[in-house]
Amino acid sequence: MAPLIDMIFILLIFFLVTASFVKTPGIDIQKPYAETAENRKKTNLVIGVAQDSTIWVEGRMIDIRDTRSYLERFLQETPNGTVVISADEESRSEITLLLHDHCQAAGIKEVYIGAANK
Amino acid sequence: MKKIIITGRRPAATELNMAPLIDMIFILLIFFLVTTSFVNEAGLERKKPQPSMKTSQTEKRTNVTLGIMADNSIWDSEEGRSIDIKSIRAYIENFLVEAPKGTVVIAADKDSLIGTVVKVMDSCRLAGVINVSVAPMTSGGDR
Repeated sequence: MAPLIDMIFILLIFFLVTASFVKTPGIDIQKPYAETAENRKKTNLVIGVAQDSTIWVEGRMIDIRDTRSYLERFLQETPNGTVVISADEESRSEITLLLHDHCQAAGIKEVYIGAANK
Repeated sequence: MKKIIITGRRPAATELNMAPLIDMIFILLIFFLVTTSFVNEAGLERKKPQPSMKTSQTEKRTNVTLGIMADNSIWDSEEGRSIDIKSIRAYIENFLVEAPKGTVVIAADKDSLIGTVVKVMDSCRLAGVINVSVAPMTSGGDR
């Protein structure tokens, strides 16, 4: 019995280390509706843009100038990570487009603009 | 009636005690149930206009540039007319009849709302445009 429990412990630790958790912005966002939006199964990071066009990640507000270094750190932690920019429909489009550019400049291949499809 | 003949002592502990194992598996199950976040994000892919898309070799229009102004009004920059957000789909469908592989470039003013941009993107995709790209509007250039 002991080796079996050992093995299950090893499995547990393995899953703990490899489990990818979605980093959510932690704010309430009224996303724009788009019929053609597709569900993105593996999202690693959701960047929130609030109604007042402030940028939120992991429950804190960050400046647009700090996003580049944040995204580079994110990419080191999660190579090939998928990012969804979830912007409030009343936020300024400039912020989302800038964020999209920053994500691509940081080397993130899959960047999507968040929308609700139901 | 059968007779059971015990020939010798059976070796002890041939049976596995399953209780701790099941406990363990339950704990694992609950752990993953709690930590798995069922965040199902939906999103649109954004393309950026390529330089080649701007220059059309033929006489026919192969792309439409829709400008979204700071007041969220939508303009067709080449024809210089404003379009209602509800009639974009019909407008783009009309354009697709002329140019079936036409592309749409959305130029969004920095003060326009992302909700409008997404709606325009969505309408274009619903109309059947394969290549919808979004770019920030260069100051005063696109109109």
